[in-house]
Amino acid sequence: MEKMSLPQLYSMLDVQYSSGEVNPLHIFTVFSKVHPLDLPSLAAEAGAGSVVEDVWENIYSITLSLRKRYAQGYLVDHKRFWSILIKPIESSVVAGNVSESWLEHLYPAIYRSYIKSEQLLDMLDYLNNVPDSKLELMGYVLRIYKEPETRKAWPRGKPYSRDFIEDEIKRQNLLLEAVNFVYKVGLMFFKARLSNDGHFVFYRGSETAFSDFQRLVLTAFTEISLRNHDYFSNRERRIIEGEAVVSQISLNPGQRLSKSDLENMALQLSHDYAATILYAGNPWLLVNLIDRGDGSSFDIHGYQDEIQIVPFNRASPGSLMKLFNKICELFPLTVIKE
Amino acid sequence: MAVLTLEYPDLLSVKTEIQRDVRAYVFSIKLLGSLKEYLGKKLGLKVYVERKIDKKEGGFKTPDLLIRSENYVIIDHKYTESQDERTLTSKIKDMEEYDTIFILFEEEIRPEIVMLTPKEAAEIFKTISNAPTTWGYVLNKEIKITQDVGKVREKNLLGLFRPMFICPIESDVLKYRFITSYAPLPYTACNVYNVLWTLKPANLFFVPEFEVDYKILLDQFNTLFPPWISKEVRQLTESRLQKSLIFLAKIGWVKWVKEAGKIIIDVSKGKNIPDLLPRLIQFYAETELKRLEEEYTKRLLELQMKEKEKTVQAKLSDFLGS
Repeated sequence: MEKMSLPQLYSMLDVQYSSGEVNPLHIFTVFSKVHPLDLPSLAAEAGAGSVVEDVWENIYSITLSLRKRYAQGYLVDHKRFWSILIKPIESSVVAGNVSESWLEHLYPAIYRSYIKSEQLLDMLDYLNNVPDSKLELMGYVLRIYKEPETRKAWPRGKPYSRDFIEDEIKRQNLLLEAVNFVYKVGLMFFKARLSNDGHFVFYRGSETAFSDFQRLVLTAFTEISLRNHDYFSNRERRIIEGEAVVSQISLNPGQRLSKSDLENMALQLSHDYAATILYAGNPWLLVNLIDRGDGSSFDIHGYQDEIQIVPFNRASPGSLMKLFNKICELFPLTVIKE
Repeated sequence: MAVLTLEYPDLLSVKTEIQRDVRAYVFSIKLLGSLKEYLGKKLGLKVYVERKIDKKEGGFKTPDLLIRSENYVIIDHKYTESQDERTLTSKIKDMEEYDTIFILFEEEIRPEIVMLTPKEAAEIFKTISNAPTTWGYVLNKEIKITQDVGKVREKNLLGLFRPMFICPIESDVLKYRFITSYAPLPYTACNVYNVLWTLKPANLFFVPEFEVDYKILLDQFNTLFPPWISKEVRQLTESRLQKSLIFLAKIGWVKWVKEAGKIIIDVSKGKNIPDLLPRLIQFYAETELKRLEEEYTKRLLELQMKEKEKTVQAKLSDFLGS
């Protein structure tokens, strides 16, 4: 890949995505515990593949591979987070799927950023409130844990309405996972897809559309996900002057949880963690989880109207965010009790 | 653990008993931690948890809670899921051992006694004539306690019942995984396994195994005990840790290289087990079953011998008498 600086990279993408038919660009906003140049050896250990080369300061060309499938693009190291930009070689779906699986393989060295349904809506509100802008929703995706997603087409010509989506989320008790939209400000426009797990798809746009998308959408997303990351950081149990100090997170599941809801939560979490169900009673739950990826561990105390996450001696923000997101997938109306 | 009876032991009942012991332990942590904090910090009563107190007549007892208010009150947690009269009577007998004079701070005290049991059990204790003052509790997001048998005389405690005493689950219970009482081995082993994982080196991501230093593990393990436990008990925690390591090594989840002071954790072990505790209980129950079967055989032989002796004695008496 040719050498280029960040402005040059964005400018190249501006040109490519404003002229003619091109395969959509997949962008992943992720956090990392490693240096980009360590990825090839780490990927090999994780049963995946990767080739990384320096392109410019903090910019790398990257090839991700899983078995016979692969995807190529750029990795931009923003220090606190990375953007991985993937240009499909085969179909867009393959590029998206390969990248998603590759990232899963690389956990916990690389971990996803998540934002909540209401934060996704906040972003849409923000775009909608830019003077002279027009936000046209094409569709959105609602989902609950392990169930097939529910794709909803947005009624043609209907203006964006947060209330409408929120009502749907509450009525169906589902999580807002992604939105497809066209965004216009004056002559500038772009079409994109925005997901709660930091996977964006940029389809096409006007002349400087990618740079505008980066400035308006990606920056807003990373600000929110960094805020979430900070919230979930430094939560591990500590011993201060001989006494244990815990920093639990209390969640309101937004629904009354029955014994079977709690048992189901324990069962679902046990697919992703080493779980020890210490009590699944009437109706409260005590389950201990170990994240085999990085050794993070949590106690989950579940009650009818509250779920408490009590981080143990190690609790990385990546693992905690993943756990919180899983609980949100199970109980989509979950909010953090401040 | 299992009381030896002459019923032939079976795996299911041994497992059930271990599971019940684990539940009892989890409940005790919630109850003692919460009552200590609520009665102590919020109500200003002096609360001793699992404090060893000497009996005037000799020996000692370690009640779950000893409360100093206008008078002394002992609250002891007796967990049972049984409705069997023999089991319930044994709980009452245990409580009767507190009905004596103790020496505390060189002072003779005769505490009032309260038995704390699950609500369902308390309902049955109502029907047993010699049950002590009994509080039945329902444990959930908070602890709801009712006076089911008798009434506590101590005014500060009596005043808590309006008519129910609701004690919040206090943050102390989130901090610790053990109390002074000995936990069932599968429970301790689960916690040790948990601590081992939290000590996985942060720079190792995709490795088949990792190593943990024994001394670091011991330090971390000790932090799982609450500050109220005595120094002598704290010293004994190492034996709990070692038993757990031996147990985990037998299952094959870890390798304990004792002379090197290292524990090696096999990352792939237990990966496809949805809930670790039943696996540990199963393994432990199988070992326990063997022990109980041996004890059963030994006891049976003893009884047969005694029976034989009795018959011989009877025959001899008959002979001599005639």
